[in-house]
Amino acid sequence: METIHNPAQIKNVTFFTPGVIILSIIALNGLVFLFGRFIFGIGAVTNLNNFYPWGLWIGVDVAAGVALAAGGFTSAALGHVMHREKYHAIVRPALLTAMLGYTFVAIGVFTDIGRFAPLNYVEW
Amino acid sequence: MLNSNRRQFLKISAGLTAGMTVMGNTEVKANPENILSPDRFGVLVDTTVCVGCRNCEWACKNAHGHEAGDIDTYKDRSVFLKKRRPQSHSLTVVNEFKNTKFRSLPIDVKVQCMHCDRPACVSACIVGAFSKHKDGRVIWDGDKCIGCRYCMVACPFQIPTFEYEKTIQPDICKCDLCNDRQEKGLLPACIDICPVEALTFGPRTDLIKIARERIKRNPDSYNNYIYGENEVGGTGWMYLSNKKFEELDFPKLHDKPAPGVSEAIQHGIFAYFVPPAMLYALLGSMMWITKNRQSKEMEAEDGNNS
Repeated sequence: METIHNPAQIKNVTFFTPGVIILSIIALNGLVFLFGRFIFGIGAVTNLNNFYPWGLWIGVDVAAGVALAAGGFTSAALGHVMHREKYHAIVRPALLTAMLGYTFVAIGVFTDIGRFAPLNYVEW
Repeated sequence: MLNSNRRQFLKISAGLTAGMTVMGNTEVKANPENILSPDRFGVLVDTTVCVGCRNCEWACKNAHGHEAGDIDTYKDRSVFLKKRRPQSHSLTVVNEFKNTKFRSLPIDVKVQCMHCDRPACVSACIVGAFSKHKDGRVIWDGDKCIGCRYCMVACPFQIPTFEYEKTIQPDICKCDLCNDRQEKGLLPACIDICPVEALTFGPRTDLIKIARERIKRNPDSYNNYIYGENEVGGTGWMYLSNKKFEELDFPKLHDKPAPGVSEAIQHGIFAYFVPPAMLYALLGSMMWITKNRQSKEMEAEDGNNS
């Protein structure tokens, strides 16, 4: 048990690898459109209209974000509910990924909907 | 040790189950009851009578506070070259179709929310912003809407529209059968202004009788079909025409209510919160069993080591 929970700092690793740089460019691109959405409206940046009220947007939200989260929670279930001790090592990173997944779903949905006042009634 | 664990577990799971059942009873919206009045209002549109003056469009814009302009500009018939759909600033539009029987008399079809008896938008709305009034109108409540546009996806007639140009607080716009005017005892604006009485407002059951009577009296000038009588479980607005309705851009729909199957599944799954509670109970018991087995193994290992 003790050997499994032995966190150690990762040392001498460059953060900006080519992969991270490419992903950062994609993310910056997304941020530009995020600002565009709050200036020109959701229709202008997504090309959605009354005939296509939902588009790729929902696919990325739901298919990517929620699916990412599901994997993390399944790993957590393996480790903590079924007590398969050998999976404990990956439970934390998996749960972090899951949390990020749902966070981005929430941010994506918030960007999408546009009417925020009724959300005050939701019991968080 | 073991016994106390077991007792604790049972207590906790029983408490959880009870709590969820209580929550389920109070918070989950049960199957919407059929609150519809038998005398609920509908509208009969006789497309053989409509002359395409588009006064209804003007009246609708005025009644809903949209920029209407001068009524004389609505005499311009060139707008009929294009098929239009309701927009956020024009909740009803009139489209014109060629008449194959009488060429000089084009067929004009008014398009707006059909006010279904079993509305898909009401069923789909996740926050309950749409509701069906007992008098027949389907209305949208801006205080509840979060703008997810599920209603637009759900509607079999593609009626709800969204203010895409607005950044914050965009509205879902659709015909509300002049909810405000009806509350004051007035007729809906389009019906009030129609100069040729192409629109008949009245109890839905009476309208069906009137429609049947008209078809019986003039079987040559009507296609023997009332669009909306049975479509998706019946709609508030019903249409008569001398052409097949598919040729007038009406969707061909079956007679079952649009939300029927999905609503049954949804309300079945979450009835009294039983399945989620069962899932938690299952996971909890699995956790307890595996934990128990593991501690036994460890005890056994410890015994071997020493």
